[in-house]
Amino acid sequence: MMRLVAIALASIAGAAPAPSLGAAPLEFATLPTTPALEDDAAALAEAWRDALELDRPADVVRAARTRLTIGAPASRDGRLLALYARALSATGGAEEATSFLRTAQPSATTRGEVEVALARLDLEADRLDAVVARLASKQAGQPVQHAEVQDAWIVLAKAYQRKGDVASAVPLLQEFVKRARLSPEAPSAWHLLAQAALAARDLDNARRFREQSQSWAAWQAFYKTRRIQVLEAPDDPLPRFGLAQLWASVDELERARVSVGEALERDPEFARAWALAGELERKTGNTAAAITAYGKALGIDPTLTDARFNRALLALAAEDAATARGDLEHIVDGQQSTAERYLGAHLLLARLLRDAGESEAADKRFARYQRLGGTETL
Amino acid sequence: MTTLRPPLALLLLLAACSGGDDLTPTPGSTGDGAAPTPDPDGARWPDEAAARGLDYVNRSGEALKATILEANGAGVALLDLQGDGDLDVVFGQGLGSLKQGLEGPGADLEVFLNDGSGNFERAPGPGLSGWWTGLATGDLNGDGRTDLVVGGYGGLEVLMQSESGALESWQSLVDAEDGGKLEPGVERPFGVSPHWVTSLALFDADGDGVLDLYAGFYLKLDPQNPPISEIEDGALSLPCRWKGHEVYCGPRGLPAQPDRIYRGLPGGGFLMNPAWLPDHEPGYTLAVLPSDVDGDGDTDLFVANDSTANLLLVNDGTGVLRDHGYEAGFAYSADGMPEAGMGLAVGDVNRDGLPDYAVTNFSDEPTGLYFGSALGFSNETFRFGLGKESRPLLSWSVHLEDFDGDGWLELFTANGHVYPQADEELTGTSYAQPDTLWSLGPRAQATRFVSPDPGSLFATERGSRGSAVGDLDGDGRPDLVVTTIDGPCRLGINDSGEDANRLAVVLESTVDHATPRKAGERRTPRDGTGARVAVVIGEAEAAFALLKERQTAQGYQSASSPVLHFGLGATERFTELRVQWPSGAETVLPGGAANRTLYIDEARGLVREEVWQ
Repeated sequence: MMRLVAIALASIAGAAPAPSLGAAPLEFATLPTTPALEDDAAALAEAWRDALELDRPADVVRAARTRLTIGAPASRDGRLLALYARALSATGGAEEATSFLRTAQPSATTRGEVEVALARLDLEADRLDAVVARLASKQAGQPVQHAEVQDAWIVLAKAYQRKGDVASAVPLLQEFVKRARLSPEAPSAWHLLAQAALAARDLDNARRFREQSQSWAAWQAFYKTRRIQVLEAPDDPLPRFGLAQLWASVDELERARVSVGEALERDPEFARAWALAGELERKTGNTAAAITAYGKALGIDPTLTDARFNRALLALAAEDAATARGDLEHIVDGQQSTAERYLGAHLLLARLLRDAGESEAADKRFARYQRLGGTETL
Repeated sequence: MTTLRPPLALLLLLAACSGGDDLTPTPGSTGDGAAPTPDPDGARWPDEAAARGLDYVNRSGEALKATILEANGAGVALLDLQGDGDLDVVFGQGLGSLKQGLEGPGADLEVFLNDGSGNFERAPGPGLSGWWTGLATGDLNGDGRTDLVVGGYGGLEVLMQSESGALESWQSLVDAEDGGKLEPGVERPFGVSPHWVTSLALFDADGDGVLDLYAGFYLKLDPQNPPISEIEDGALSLPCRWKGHEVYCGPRGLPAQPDRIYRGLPGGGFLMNPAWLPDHEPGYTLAVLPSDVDGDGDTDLFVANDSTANLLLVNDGTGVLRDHGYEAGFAYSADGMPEAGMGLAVGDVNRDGLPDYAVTNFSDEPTGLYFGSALGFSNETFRFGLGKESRPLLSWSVHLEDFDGDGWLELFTANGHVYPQADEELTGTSYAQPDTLWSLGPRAQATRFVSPDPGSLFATERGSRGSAVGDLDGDGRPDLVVTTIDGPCRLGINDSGEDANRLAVVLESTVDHATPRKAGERRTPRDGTGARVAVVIGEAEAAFALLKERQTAQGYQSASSPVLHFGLGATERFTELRVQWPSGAETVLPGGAANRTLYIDEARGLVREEVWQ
């Protein structure tokens, strides 16, 4: 029985769209004064980073001018200083950003952020040698200084690449895509790896890296779009559901869980959100919660066949034959019974009936499975 | 990439091994030494448009730019009308509003005739009615006169030059039936977007000696119901914003229209031939540039797309064009992202015999400078310091031309933002921008030209769009005509490189085009389109070659002069001149004196020389 379940789960995983979870929404309209952010530099940094990614650097500049005053605790946080510098540069103040960072006094633990931000300003000003001087490490086995700051890897790699030193850039890029797969710069890193592979006539890797670049670029584009839609329609569940799907598609299950929860808060009758919630629970091993969530989804919309199939699979795994049988019968007798993605349902039902001693019914179901193209044995 | 064909290739290889590719590397890092400096020769580049009678004023919708149609402006073409040997000027023209595009009256092209000394007088237009943007020039019917193709929002028209020098309607390439044609004042179906043509290129795709047409298309915009403020409705709508400001919608979020290619007919008409463009992925095309990129003797195409991947369409020799942009390193920015490609230029910047190119982009996206190499292109933007220099600019038309005659190409970009909101606080850019000219050699560093003269082409901040290069005043120096959105055009008179020696080359092919072609036979178009010229300077180890290809489509929505200009610097003679014709034939001229125009015919060789006064 368990072997069958495993096979079926695998087939579902391949057939069904990957589900996902989401990050907490950020309210940029209240960015400078939100009390919840006042004492939380990490949250503030996240909000500023989001604002930069959503093409709103002016919001960061305005917010920073009220927060990064001399003596304020935030003015010693290198993350905030670096983000402010990026925002300044994006609004035409690259020289002001450089001057600001050079006189900033970040804490020892966040000084690296400032150094990397300075290197990025050098990169934007085509001072490629200066980037290398600032970030290249002379220590063996440690190619980059301030390695704890993930941007250090991509900034130094881009400097090498722009200088034509592809060999030095490649290992940095490889490390960056490992450390920062969700970074907005990850598609660039994959692209640069693809170009390096092309130059080396390594066509297989060039193709693979290019696909990674395009796939992550598409993900980033959707991610940006969904965040904008959340900001524009904060009470609407649909953009948050879309965000949850995006997170699930990259296995960021906890973030997906947050977003799908927010969608359901706004519309408790959102069947596809319940189905996604079920999928997330299934992926994290919470079988009972998953079955409950699938049940909610099917209660609202009985036509969600993926949710029904997945509930059947979980019920089989939990040795809840009655639930599994009900769902499988619903599928194989329903409108989508001939769909290739549900072929396994016919086989599973036939085996379930066989195990229940209903040989004739099992043979009948199995015969239909074979007519539909199934090749496994009963 | 295939290699250059033997004769010219060997010559250029020789050049590259000796004097070629001799850009002096910049010491230390780039980006630190490109501060603008006044021209040491005191060049001013005065804008003399008004003084010389070029009183064209562009109309491109309303000042607030509520729709993307109103932001793109118009192009300009330089061509000889009336066969008097000088360059006349034709401008595209838009309308005062999108509403006028529906209700009429439509705009005609605006024509200015040159008196030979660079002074102009208005002449009647061809009588078109529409919203005109892109222009292309070439001899379409082999009668020795230059004809014109013009595209726009809802129009793509072929105009033949008559014996008297008038441009006369010959063929319309957009159907009225399917709503693709926009006829101002004529009722049109609701919910249908006109065809929107941007840049055009006339080139010989299949080597039959007849010019073919590539038409770049932009996007679907319903003139009766354009998207305003947001794209789509409901929770999944997207606001049209830039840096927090509400702006017009597009191109992202609006459907791209696929480009089209037309086969030229010997009599002068065109037939659409989609078989030459298999696997075409529509982008938002803004610029098209023909060039023999791989040196195999046929013409390939660069296509700059707005916000989507650029294309490098490589010709298989029969006219079939397939995209190799990604492999060549042309599709995306150095960071692997699609940019807003606006304009294209080609030239041999580092004098290694391989074409290099420049592509202009949106603000925050540097103008890209790419060098041809054995395998695709290398991105030289940042090593030349162009990243920092050009990042604040939104650039459109572009040229790689030796304006000052020193033997090294300069880079010109026509600049101006699309959003009036660029003048708001904290955008990092501005709506009006100065045009820019950078020298790129002999020091491998982009050094910006500045003029203290307030009347200089480069002194004022405008919203430039199209531009064309050509010697309008007959002094041997290539000048610049630039269109300004919603404003008067400018005529930059080239007064740089006063002491430099120069050479101009005019090509044509009077080889018999009437007899049927033999199988596999390739022919040169009557006007010499596609021919490549190498001018060798110096002797033996010190020799180097300057390379140019006879194409008029370059920049943005514009057509430059067919005359090829070479700068010889202090050298008063060239050592040798070779013309590689598209037919495969070659013309070799022994050395000669500079400071003249050479007229070379594929059939007759050097026909005449005109020494400049």
